[in-house]
Amino acid sequence: MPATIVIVFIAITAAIALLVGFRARWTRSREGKILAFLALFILPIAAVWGGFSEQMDRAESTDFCLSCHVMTDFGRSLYVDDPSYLPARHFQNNRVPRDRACYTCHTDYAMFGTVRAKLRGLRHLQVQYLGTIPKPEEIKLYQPYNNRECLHCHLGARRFEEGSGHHKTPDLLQSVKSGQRSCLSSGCHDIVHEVGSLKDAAFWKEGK
Amino acid sequence: MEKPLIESRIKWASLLIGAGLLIQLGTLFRIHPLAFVVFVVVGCPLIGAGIILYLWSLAPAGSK
Repeated sequence: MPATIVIVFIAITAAIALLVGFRARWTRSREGKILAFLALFILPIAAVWGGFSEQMDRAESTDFCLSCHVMTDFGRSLYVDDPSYLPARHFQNNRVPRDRACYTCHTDYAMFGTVRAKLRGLRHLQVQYLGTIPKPEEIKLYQPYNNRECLHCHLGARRFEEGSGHHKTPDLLQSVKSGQRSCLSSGCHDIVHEVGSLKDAAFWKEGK
Repeated sequence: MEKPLIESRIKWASLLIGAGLLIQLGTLFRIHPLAFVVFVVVGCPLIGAGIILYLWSLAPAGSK
């Protein structure tokens, strides 16, 4: 649902709820009771649902992820002018939606993957506001990056299936697909955000 | 003239719900984790309390 509709709906609901409160004598009539039930029960629940849904949607946006200071360097790494940086290559070539770049790669493409990603997000909020914020270079994945997340998009793609790099040995492609060989940590695509070395990097300026 | 108890409760319920909704509305104008926290920790409880107060106002058979 577009954010504008949610915002307008919440605003109208708030206005009706307050109106019913300040004109409480209206509830003496049958119609007034129905109005109060709508204004103080049905509509607020719908508004909360709409608002929560919108918040969940926003939590998947790149802006949301990068709005915490500790994530700034991870955002900068998307603009490194070096194709060996895997996230930068994906981001700059629109291989991931730019407005959802973080979420696209850092969610689990499995049952309840979205739920797990949201729960991890809550943990990040706890650390951000109640815990000790680590240095960017100290931030690690919870578990080794799963090939499943890469294969969600790349599986079946011609460049992935037929690319010479994936046929250096006869069983390489199959071992990647089965998860026996990691895309990221087996020495093939192991340059990711590298936030500790960004000070020496050159950055891509879009439009130049 | 004193308001019936049910109307007083409805007024308070509407104030809680209205305040909660306005806070939630405010959080939707900014994309930031803190906006989400305010939405959940402040907005939702206010609206929940208002709804409960409204339902409670319906429960007693008579009014003051």
